[in-house]
Amino acid sequence: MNSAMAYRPQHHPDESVLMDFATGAAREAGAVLIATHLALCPCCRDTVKKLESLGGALIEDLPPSTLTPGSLEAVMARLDEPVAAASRRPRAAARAMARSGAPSGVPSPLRDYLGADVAELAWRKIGPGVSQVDVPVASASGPVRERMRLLRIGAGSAIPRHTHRGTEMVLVLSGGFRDGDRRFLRGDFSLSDEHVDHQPVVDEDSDCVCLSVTDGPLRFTGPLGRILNLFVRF
Amino acid sequence: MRLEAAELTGLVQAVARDRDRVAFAALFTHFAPRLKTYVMRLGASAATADELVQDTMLTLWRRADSFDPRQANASTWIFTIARNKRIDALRRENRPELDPNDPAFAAAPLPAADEAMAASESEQVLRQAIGQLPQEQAELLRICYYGDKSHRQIALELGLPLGTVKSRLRLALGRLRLALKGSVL
Repeated sequence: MNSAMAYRPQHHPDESVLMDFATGAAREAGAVLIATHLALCPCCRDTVKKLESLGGALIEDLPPSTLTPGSLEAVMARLDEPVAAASRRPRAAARAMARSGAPSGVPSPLRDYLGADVAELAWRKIGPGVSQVDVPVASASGPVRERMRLLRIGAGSAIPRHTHRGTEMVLVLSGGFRDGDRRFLRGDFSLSDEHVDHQPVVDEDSDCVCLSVTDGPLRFTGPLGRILNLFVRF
Repeated sequence: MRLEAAELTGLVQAVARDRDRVAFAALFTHFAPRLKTYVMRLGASAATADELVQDTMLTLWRRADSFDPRQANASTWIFTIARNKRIDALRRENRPELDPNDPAFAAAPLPAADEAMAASESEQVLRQAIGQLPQEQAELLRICYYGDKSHRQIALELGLPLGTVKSRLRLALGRLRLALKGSVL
């Protein structure tokens, strides 16, 4: 891969979102999406490192708690314990994405969650020009009820005008879309919430595959909005 | 006598190089009581906290050779170990990791050789700068790092507009960056 020509992301999570990732407050699905952006974005990785160094400094500022007597001895006794080999999820091989001229491969860590090539996943059509694959994640059943899915939107298609209850984070994996006057390509990050009412449109020259993490449903607001809200559960 | 950043780095390196148990005991004495406070602020009971702290220090022992002082100082490194442990143990979720060997990973230029000095020297400056932040900014940072809540959830719970929380964090980070004159933050 010629990294000198690879597109560098232009749209990034802001520092509050990166801070949630650095502190560990981000739940698993959001953390996977942010980490996958980081895999493609050295400058955000740098910001996260700095936010982690803030974590280190804050640890130093904490008042010490009293340890249970014998704590040190208990740990020392375990130093020679054999280490159980960590079980690893099998990694899907990186393959080029169909119909995209962009650099190949779904980055880790997302790749580890998919279990198959993008083309071989069980895509399910949810509307004209839109298919999705649910990606199972532990935080789906937690208090925040995150949902992680891959979306494939056909070349030139528009997502019907909508806003959000809660938030949606999107990371482009291949192809691209326009939202207002901004263009989003591979590695670009977008966050939408109840303050946003938009109608993203996919580029004409190829399908767009992206990762979406939501913690609430979409609310359709265009001319067909009432019908879509009744029948489409996103 | 309190250990400072450069000494802590040296102790971790002694553990990595020589399996030095005296160095490990000194690291334990320094970090374990503070890590216990950190984990309890996240909601763990004292007993669970003891366990998590033990696991964190064991991980330090086992992975000491992966510590790179050019990337972070010892406190930062152990903060990330403790953070990942508590996500796994208290929340039962996976913490996603980056893989620099992944062909899709976008590499960056290597850090300059003198950044190792910068990392441990600047911790003291950073801690001083935190101490000089306006009360509401310092408090908000602590809520973010010691809680289990996103900044959105924090805004809801404090009854503040999201924009206020975001700008307060931005201001706090801006002041810290200024104090470090761009050397680390």
